[in-house]
Amino acid sequence: MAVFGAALIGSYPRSEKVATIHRKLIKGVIGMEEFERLIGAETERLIGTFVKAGLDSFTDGMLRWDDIFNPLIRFVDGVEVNGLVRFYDNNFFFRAPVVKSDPSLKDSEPITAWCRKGVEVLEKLGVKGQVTLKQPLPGPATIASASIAEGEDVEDLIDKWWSGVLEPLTKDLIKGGCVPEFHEPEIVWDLSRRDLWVKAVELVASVNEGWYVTYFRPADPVVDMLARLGEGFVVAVDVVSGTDAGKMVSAGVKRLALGAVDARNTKMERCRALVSLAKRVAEDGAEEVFVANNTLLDFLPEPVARKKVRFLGRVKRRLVRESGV
Amino acid sequence: MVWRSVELPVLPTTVIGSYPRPKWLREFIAGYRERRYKEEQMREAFDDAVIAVLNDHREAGVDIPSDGEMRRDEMVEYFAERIDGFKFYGPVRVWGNNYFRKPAVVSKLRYKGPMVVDEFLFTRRVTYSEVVKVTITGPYTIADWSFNEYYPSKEDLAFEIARIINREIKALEEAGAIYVQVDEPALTTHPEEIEWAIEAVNEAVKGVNIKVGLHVCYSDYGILRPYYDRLNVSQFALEFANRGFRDLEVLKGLNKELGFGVVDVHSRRVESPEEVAAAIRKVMQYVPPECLFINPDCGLKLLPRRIARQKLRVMVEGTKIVREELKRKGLERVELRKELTCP
Ligand SMILES: [Zn+2]
Repeated sequence: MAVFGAALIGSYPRSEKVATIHRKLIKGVIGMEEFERLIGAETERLIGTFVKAGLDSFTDGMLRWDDIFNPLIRFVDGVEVNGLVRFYDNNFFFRAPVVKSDPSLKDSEPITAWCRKGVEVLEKLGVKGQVTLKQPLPGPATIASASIAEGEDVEDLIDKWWSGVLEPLTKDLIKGGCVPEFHEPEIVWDLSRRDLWVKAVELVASVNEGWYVTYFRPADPVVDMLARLGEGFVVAVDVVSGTDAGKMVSAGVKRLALGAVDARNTKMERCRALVSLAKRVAEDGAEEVFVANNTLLDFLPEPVARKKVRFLGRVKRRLVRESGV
Repeated sequence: MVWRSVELPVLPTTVIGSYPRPKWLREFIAGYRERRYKEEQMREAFDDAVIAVLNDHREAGVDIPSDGEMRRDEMVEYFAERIDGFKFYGPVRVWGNNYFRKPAVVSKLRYKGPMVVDEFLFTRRVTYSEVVKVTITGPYTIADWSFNEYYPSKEDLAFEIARIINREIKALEEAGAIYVQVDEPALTTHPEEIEWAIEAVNEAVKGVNIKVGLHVCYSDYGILRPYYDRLNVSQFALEFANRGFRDLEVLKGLNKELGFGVVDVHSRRVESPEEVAAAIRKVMQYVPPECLFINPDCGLKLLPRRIARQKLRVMVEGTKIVREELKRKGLERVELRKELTCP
């Protein structure tokens, strides 16, 4: 019988309080040290609410992040930060990396330390070992496609971002007790470059551990690639956008996160519908089934995101109850 | 109301809509939110701000001004607050630490009554010009920038909003407005929806007997190009300064009036009149002068007011250079047109 879980992928919206902390930093009212102290406290509180909601696998909410690229790209040599670019078809914009020379992760990157702080919170709450803390990172295909780089092709950029930045960072994160969560919307968004994505998936697969997340479009056309990630990976797919979860399982994905809670609509989902879907996927042969949000919760107002997180926990409890696991 | 014809100098100059709120107004609004002022005092402050904006437009020499959208915090919020069926759960982030109060549609949308007619009536009362432009956010953009909890599809939602906007435009027409601009910055952002998005805009302007412009900005105009004929508006107001006046090729085959964006609203560098004139000469290779309006790329609200004022002045001065050249060819005046095609 499959194991059921509830998961949060990606970011959580900034509360009024978190927004104020950022505003103070931008205006220079507080410095980096004070910012880190305040955001650290808010992150700790947020992780507490995830645990309380009953989530088994979650991120720290990415309260320090503007988007999946920033501030990561500020800690990379060879890269400058450019103007705003639309994030796929959302009314949401990110600052794009401009690749001037081969990107390489700076030793001063704070992301590993943030992950360690998150793990300390788990210890404090007494849930270390029972839950998984993930660190979202852009996948190599997604960051390569988002890069502005004159005269560089995407294929080379995939390699360079991987070997210079993502691979070393991933290894440090795993050492620090965090699980990498790769965000790769690009591989389902632009199917015309499928051949390139095959390679990008292989690079990620080489770390043998993590979450691999696609969203905004169905993952069905890339199911063969996702199946190749291996058992070390949980594959998260956007069910709201129409991914056929059964197809994932029959293609060989054993650990699946069902992005069935819509992070792009305030409407609440029906518990019954999610429970049946998760059970069906388990019956199809999945070994581990998570109910999850389909994409970054940052697209929602915070009060609605809070409700959806609690809802995920409720779905999981019902699954556990009804399946007797 | 009946349509009346208005004579304008060739290459009429206008604005897209929004203009920086004066600093004192921003402070007053903050005070109003802290309940330090009464509603009536707030309204008076808005009125005074509109007068100040019109004065800036007049001094710059803009032929067709607007009220600078002084009363509107945001282009979708403002309308969602005035239509029944919307709910606000809280802000969502758009980028960095910048937020937008994205509305959610939670029940059937209903027109509660005029939303911007009072704005228009006040502007007309205090303006120096014969014509003012009234802007209204288009149905597709409102639908795209809202959460849809109620309608079976985004398309159903957009058409419902279109019917509401249509009533508003007709109310404006009734009140004597002769120039309305529908703002649709989101129009091309989901190319797979463009077919019905175009029809939603048409639904919003159905049966309207005044001049209607359509403003689309920071978009891939190539996506819009196949639909020039199908859009039942008389003018497209498009942004070109931001793209360095490249992509003018997309204007080939345009059979409507063009509102040509000549100053960049995202840059604080003030253009020179010569740059503006050169851009107008360049666009005249694609659009005849009698079918050209001159405007900034987009609303000016994000600029410091001082820069916004300078940009408008430069826009008018640059236009005047080209007007002199056209005068020698005997072209001095044009008429405000509501026809769907030009020439
Ligand atoms: Zn605009």
